[in-house]
Amino acid sequence: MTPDRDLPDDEVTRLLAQVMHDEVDGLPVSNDSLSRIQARAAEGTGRAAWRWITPLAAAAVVALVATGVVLLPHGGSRTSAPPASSSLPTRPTTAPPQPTPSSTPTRSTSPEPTPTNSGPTHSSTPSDGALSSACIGAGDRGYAYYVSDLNGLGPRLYRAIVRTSCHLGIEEALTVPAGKDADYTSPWPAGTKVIAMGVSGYLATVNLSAFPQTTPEEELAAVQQLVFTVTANQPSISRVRLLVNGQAPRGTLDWTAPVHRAPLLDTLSLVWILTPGNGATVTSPISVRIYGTGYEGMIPLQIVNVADPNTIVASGSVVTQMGAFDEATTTFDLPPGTYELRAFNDSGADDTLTLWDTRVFTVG
Amino acid sequence: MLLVRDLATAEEVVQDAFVGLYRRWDRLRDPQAAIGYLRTCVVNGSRSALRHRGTVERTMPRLRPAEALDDPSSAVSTRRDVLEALAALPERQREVLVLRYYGDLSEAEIAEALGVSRGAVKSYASRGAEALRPTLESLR
Repeated sequence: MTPDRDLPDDEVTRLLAQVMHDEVDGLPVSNDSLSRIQARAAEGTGRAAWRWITPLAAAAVVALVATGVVLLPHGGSRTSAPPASSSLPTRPTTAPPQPTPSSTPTRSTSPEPTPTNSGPTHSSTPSDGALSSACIGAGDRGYAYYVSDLNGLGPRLYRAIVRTSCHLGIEEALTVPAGKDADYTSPWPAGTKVIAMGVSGYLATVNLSAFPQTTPEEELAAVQQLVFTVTANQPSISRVRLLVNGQAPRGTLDWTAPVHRAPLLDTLSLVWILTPGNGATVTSPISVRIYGTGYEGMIPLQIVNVADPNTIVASGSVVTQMGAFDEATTTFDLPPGTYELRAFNDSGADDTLTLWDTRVFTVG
Repeated sequence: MLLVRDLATAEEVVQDAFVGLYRRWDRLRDPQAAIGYLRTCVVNGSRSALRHRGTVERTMPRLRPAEALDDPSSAVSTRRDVLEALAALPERQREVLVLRYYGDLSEAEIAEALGVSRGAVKSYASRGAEALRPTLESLR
């Protein structure tokens, strides 16, 4: 930042600058911005002379619209703007350019701090941006997201707590570890490996050995699965660029740009059962912890005996949030046995309940 | 985007600024003044957009943003909290902080863009930074 001795300039304001850059740098900008400006300016004037704007527009218009504010520092244009990113890909129309590791942006501000609070713990924090096969970001307690289409409404992401062996949980997300919910899947081809990974500021670049060949919906979920996993395990990362054997992934959709998290309500399962864990043995009264959202926040719960799954032995509900995710807890008294807990919500449009998550557990 | 918190509105505001500049090009005293003109237009356009949005939103129910509860890592929420706190600042303070710490403009350039004195810029910057300090401290 250009020094100005009269204005506050310390670590805190540098953090503010970094948060702002993380928020808006590389936002996807309408491709037709310049032509829309030209069309509007020419209306009623009969003038088509754009010689004056050409040199300005070529560098400036896109940059200004991208940032959304007229901020050409000292009359110049950005020369190191990160690549545009998006949570949604576009269908490829031409052969995509081949990104290279050297295209990852660098930051002029200090690196974002590693969280020291209740976030996941990791053995090291990658920071130099160079792609490496070295193990980075292993931790005893981290997160991995998995895909399930339990209710037939389309693939949704579910989060699980895992021990992250390497690469910020990507390995655990690629292959569902034994013992996790049987409904959790990973659309990634069996045997997919992380060839290399690098982190530069808010951008992680991951080079994988394979890419899902599946429907666009499942491909979208697979990519978001990795984006949510990486950003959950290292919150200073907000975007992920995927490579497959060093090149842009060749799937149904175009993944040449870095990807950030897609909107939660369109991506995540709307209800998760946090406890009891799948296959857990617990004692009555059992504690049921739910994370979710529903109409008026209501999450109906049902418990059936696995030996007689058509008979509901207990039911209840918890209240979370409407239009936002929240946690809620309740308890059930149950005799010894093996049960399945089912968690629902409803859209508010009718009385139909949608099943979002299940857990099998044993009361000892 | 940082001023209006919405990409579509930001694009509109910037387009308006360029269209306005084009129509006034013949009257521009100095081509080098174009950047300053554009900055002022975007700040003014952002204010207008926010006022219009405020009128609309006052008639609508508010929902808590889902992102705030998304991830168990509080660092993600804290970054979001900083942006929420920035959006909640008085208009001038928010504009000065964005122009300074995102746009990297000098005190004099900010004063020109906002049509205020350099002393006022200093005051807005100090007060705005102080207001955000508690939230930013939790990111350190």
